[in-house]
Amino acid sequence: MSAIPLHRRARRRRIVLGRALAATRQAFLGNKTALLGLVLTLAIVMAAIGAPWLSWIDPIDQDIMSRLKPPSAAHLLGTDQFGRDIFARLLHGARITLLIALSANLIAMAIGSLIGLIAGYYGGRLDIVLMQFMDALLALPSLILGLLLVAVLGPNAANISAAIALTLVPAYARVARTPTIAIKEREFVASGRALGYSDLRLMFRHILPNIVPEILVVASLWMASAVRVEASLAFIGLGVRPPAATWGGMIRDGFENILDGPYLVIFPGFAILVLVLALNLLGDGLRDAIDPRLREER
Amino acid sequence: MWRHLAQRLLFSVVTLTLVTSFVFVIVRVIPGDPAQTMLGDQASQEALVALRSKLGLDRPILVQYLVFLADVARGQWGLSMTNGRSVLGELLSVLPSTLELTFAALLIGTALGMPLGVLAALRRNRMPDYAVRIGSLAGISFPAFVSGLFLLLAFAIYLPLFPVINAGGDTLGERLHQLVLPAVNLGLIVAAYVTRVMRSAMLEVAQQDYVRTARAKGVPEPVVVWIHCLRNALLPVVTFLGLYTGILIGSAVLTEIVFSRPGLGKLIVAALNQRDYTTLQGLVLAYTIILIVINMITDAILGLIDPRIRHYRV
Amino acid sequence: MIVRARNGLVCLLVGATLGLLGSIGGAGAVDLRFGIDNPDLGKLDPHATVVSGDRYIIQSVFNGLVRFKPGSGDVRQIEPDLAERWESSADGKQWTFHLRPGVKWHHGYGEVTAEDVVFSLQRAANKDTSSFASDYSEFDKVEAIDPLTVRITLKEVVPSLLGLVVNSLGGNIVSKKAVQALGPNYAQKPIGTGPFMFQEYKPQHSVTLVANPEYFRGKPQIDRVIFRYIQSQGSRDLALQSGELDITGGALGQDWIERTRKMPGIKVETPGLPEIWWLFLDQTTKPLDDLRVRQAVAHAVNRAALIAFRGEASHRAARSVIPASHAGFTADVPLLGHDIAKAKALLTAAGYPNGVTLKVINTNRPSLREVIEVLQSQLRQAGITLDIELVDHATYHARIRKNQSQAVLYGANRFPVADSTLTQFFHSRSIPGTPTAVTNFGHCKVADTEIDAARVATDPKRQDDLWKVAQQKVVADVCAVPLMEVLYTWARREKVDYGYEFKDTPSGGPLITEATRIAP
Repeated sequence: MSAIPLHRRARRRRIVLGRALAATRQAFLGNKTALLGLVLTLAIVMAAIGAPWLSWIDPIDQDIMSRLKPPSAAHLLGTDQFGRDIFARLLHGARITLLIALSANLIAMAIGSLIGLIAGYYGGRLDIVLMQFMDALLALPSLILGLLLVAVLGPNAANISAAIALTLVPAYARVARTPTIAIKEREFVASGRALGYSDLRLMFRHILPNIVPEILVVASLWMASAVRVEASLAFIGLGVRPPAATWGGMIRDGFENILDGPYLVIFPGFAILVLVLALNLLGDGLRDAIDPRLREER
Repeated sequence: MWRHLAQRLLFSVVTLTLVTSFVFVIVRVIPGDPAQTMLGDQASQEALVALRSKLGLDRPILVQYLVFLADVARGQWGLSMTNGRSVLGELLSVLPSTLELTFAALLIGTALGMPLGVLAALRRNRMPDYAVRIGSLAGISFPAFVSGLFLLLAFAIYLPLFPVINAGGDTLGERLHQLVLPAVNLGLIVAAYVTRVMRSAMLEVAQQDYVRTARAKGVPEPVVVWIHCLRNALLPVVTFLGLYTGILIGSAVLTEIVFSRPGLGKLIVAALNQRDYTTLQGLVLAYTIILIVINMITDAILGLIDPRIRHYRV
Repeated sequence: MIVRARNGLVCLLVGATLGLLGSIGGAGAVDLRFGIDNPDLGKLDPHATVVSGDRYIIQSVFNGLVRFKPGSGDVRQIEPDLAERWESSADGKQWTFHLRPGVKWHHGYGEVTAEDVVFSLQRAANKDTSSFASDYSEFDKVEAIDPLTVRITLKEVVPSLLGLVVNSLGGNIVSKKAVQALGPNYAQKPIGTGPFMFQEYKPQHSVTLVANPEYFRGKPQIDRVIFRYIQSQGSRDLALQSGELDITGGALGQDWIERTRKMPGIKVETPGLPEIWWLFLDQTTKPLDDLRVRQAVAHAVNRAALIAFRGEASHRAARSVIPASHAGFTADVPLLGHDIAKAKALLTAAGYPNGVTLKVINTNRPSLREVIEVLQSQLRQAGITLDIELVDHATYHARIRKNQSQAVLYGANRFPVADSTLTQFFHSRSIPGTPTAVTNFGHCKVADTEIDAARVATDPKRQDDLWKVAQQKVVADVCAVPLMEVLYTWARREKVDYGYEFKDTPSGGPLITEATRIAP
């Protein structure tokens, strides 16, 4: 009874995957800036993973006799107000930043896509109610919402991820909902329904794989925005627990001691800039590649 | 058209209710105690209990909520829990400063972003296009506090052209002088977004039939570009600006901190730090109303100009 | 000139000629620009506010019956203010103050009478209107004998009555007529008798005071004082350097002092009356319920390194649990020294050979935050882990009072008599969570008897002995590890002359008086 749909499903999956892969390959071959984004992102990820090997100085080791020293051979990028090595702290800060941005996006992706999928699939009142809730979340600027949430939950890596995730949920829900509405009218979903497949099966086996590319494209752009929000929260004073380093927190501390040297804010500032830029380049490239309408235009 | 507006209005009321209830609960869940902040670190437990009951904080949360709703409905936003000043008064006195910054940034952003976007579109896939695209991507990648600090270092310290802190002068000249750096800071970010929207809108319009027809009919190229394309490409830019103004007002707080400016954002951070429930509620309400109003205005304008308009992606 | 040139440049930049309209300030007016490290004004009601930034303003607007000599916080140097003279009964329970005649309230609220003083002191003693009501718990009655004479009757003798009517906190005298007329608005429009009068408040921006031409000590030399709210130390430093501020508070460490001293035309001062900082150890929680663990923490703390970190210019090691400048202080206490080996041995003896973890809630204010991070790093060497949760300042204050932090880093500067600090920080009545709770974060209760007896002791020698025993017991029980004494740091333009020598500061900040001037 399921020979034809199974066959179709397998072919469809291959087509979807193939389309995504081909597009990605094309994105990076034809688009130098996207390639640059990919390389930079990978470099930062590698640096974060390899932090303990790239810098043998412990990022939380205080050396109060060499506080606030400008860059030198001993401390490549200088030291902060505790005499901690800024280079080591940048590397280790990258781990926390990436971890928070990634987990926030994964959480938001899971919850948001589910909400969007359900809203788009069932439509009607459920759709209105769910999206109304999402709109309500969007009614507050994400930084303000993040501030409120982190203040409620208390600042630590898990809570900051959760807070940023919540600010991203509505965005993912919207991205998932629109294609769901289009796809559920398509022939293969209709035939699945005719065969008596459950809603769950239709949603997760038939529709979800088709909207994954759209979701993944925005994910890298929202990684960039999660990095920015995390840094902003840390700058306002809602960062992770000490003695862990974050880039936003380093800028906040550096600003307090700015007369001792602008390097205290310039290095972490550039780190944030480069990571966000790399993620944006990557996301732009992916979007151009996967969105055929945009690809034709460029 | 009117039905659409009415629908939006209804949704807005629902959103407003949801947001205020959400925030009402949230601010009461936050650890920290306004009574403690007000009485300071030498206060005894007895004094704290007395103050809490005076502020109504010992009543059930539902009762507090109903009182709050009734007050808001009557236009009474209450007094700040920490300093006793009128929440609405405080809000209105810093609002001009936030609006001033936002509009100056929008102005700079549009003035800079639109020509650059057109330039990039005209010179597509050539040097100017690459430069503008990378530049605008860098612009949207700068967290406002990073670019703000860089600007502060460059133009207030190394080249002391502008003040470090907002001196609060009242004359127009002084106000403008203080506004330059913060407005440029936010304006560059706006410009980056506007450039991107403008560029892709121009490219899309250029593919449309009527532009092709115009070209085929032998309309001179400058007329095609500046009259036919630009006019139609403006629509997505307007949509974007409408959407972005809300975000701008929300993220202005970082710029306000760096340049020591008063503003809504700093007010909300201070209220959060002091557990000033009434001010927090009032501010969140204000933010929501501002965003809803901006959305409705944008919707109405766009609906009037072109009913087929769709939302643009950045 | 420079301002004008800059204005012109901006006009060019923004392409507007409107800048021509911008005339520069009031011609010839002398403005003093004072940077305050708070985000905004709290309340200008002297009895209600607990924010130090508010006090800097209040002390120029109000007077007390008596005052600290400007630039001094010495109780023995208290001098006449609104009262010309005073006398006390032989048993010290009845005090009579004779007011200076003809002192005028600001903004036309008439002359100061005994009625005002009675109203004001009763207001300061009232829990509903005052944050300092408990200071006045021994007040029996305050009466107006005649329009210029006030009598205070006490239930019990207090360690320093003048300290309660001095120009600080509850001792500031407010106008009865103005308080009744303005109601809750009084906090926004203070009416005092001081050298400067409230003029304007701009939210999140500034408070402006203007000279009081009728001030009883003479007309001030400065026309306006502008208190500017700038929370970030970095911004204040840059503004001081660029000439946009005349006076500003500094960071507490040596780094700030050294780099600010290098600024041309800037003078850095560290007035006396330091705060004392402790690390309180909550002895009701595991593993701190074991005295040996508390001793281990004390041994793991390296005061010398802490001082080296913050700098000797503004820090010295604490020698007891109260500051050395307070009456009743003794250095004869069994303070534990830095000894990592001993700390580890004590931990092992207590059954924690693998070390212990203490939960800490700390504020993210830079000064306290830096020190807890240094302590974290020091204690780690002895196997003591501090699990620090950084929260904003208000949350910190609230949560440490709910006993959520096993170790509490706290700094304070109470009235300079041993009783205030000992009672608020080490008496069992002050344990957080009790109805009379204040700030006994260590849940200390070993010295209650001595502290209570000393408060009402009439023989100074016996009082000192009791305070000494109390300090010894508290130190031996390691209720808190006393860390260091911290001086406030201030910077001013050299051409600013306070008009007195800035030696001490009861309010924490410099007092702007009628004699303060700016050299041309």
